Amino acid sequence: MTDSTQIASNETDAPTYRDGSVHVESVSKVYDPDGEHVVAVEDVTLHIEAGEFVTVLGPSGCGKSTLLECIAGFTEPTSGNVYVDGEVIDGPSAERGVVFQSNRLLPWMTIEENVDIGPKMRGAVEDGRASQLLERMGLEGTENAYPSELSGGMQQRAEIARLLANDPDIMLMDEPFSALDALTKEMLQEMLLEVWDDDNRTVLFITHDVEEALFLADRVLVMTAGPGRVKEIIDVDLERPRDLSMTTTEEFTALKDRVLHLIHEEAREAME
Amino acid sequence: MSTATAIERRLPSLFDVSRRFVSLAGLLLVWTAISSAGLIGGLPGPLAALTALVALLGNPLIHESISISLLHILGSFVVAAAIGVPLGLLIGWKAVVHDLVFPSLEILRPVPPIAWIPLTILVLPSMRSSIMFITFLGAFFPILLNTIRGVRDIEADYARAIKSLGGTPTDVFRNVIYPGALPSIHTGLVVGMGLAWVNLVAAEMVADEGIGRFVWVSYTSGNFENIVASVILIGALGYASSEVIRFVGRWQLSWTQLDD
Repeated sequence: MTDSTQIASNETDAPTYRDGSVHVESVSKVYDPDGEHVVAVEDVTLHIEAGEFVTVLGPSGCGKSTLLECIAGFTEPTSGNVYVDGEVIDGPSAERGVVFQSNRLLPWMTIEENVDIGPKMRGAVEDGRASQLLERMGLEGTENAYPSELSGGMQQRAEIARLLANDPDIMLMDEPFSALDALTKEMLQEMLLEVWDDDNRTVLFITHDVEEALFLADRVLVMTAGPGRVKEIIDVDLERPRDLSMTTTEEFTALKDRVLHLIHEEAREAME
Repeated sequence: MSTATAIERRLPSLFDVSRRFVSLAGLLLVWTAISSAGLIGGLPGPLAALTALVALLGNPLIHESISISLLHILGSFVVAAAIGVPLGLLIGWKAVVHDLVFPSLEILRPVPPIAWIPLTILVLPSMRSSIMFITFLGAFFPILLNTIRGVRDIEADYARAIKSLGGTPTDVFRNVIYPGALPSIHTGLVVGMGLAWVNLVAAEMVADEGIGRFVWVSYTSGNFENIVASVILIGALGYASSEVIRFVGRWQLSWTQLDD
């Protein structure tokens, strides 16, 4: 991710080669509130290639957010390791940007200040960069607004803009669109795919929405419920670029049926 | 989304303002009724009190008392904020600092200001320093406790967001802890200013200085009008100092609704 590769990507249509492979090796996370063992994640192994889009699908409480927290470096796995580009991670880092479920834009800063905060902390703010990214996310003119003055969908877009300003190799997204209405959600899904197509970042995207998981991903990791384990990893060989009309194709419906079947099977097993 | 609406939201409407006048008019009405009915012997009515207040404001003695008291307030308040805010931020942010410092402060906190007077007069070098210490205590604890609460109430995800954008602990402090605690610090400053006045007047009455002394002298010389007038004056000064803080707060913290 040097300057020369960025310039190259502007001049040609060749994809940018970035770092950003993630390897999750036998990660387990046990919480121990009041001596009560709660296994949130159990023995998850997963390899994500640099530039790959992987969604993690599972019911709420299945430990998928815990898995993301381990990869983000917010919490340490009880056992196992997370490697990024071959090295064990040690806490959060700017190479792994996070988009949270409900927006975590800093409420005391304007949208522009929020977008500039990453570069500012590194002492590398570029004039006009924030406006450029906001425009890319369809948020032109919101520079001086405070986050609370934007709608939920706009807040999530601004949060993505804040991430892009920091240029991370990896984007970790924790159900970022789950609180949005259906139309806004679809719009943001398409927007996210465009951004991803342009920049070749690795994306790990958590969701409990089957259609969302399939529409976005190269691969879908279906998790079991409590404790969270890998049930199955499904390849999504749908053509790219994608738009929402493809969610009605036979191919898509077949994949959806297969995933739903896995989930129902999992739900039955959980009840037995 | 425009800034105009953001400002408009924070200005009280004409209706709100008129309701506040109703409150003040009601107070005056009750007061007039009590004094003219002679329910409390010798209590001057609002008009007599106003006349006394106007006369009082022309008295160079009260000017001196007010400036001494304002000096006490300003000095004590600034020191209380200068210690209370940073200490509260550290206590709220770092569990180690909390465990090292907070328990002993919690023991000192419930001691009433009056109870400090004999000790401070014995220990501190001057009456003035006793008054300032007691005034300081009034402001210090609300500032400290509200600052701690302000830090504690910040969502952990804000700090996580900063860290995953490459922020150091210093960046977390500068961009999350401090600005996130500011609305609560503001509340602490407003409450602290009020309690500073409470403690100031008590201490000044005993230590024979400032406007507290003036109230006490009015009492010993049996000047009922001046007692009432100086009580009003103290109320007005206390209110005005809190308003100054509220004003600065609303101006600086336009991103949020302040609840004071």
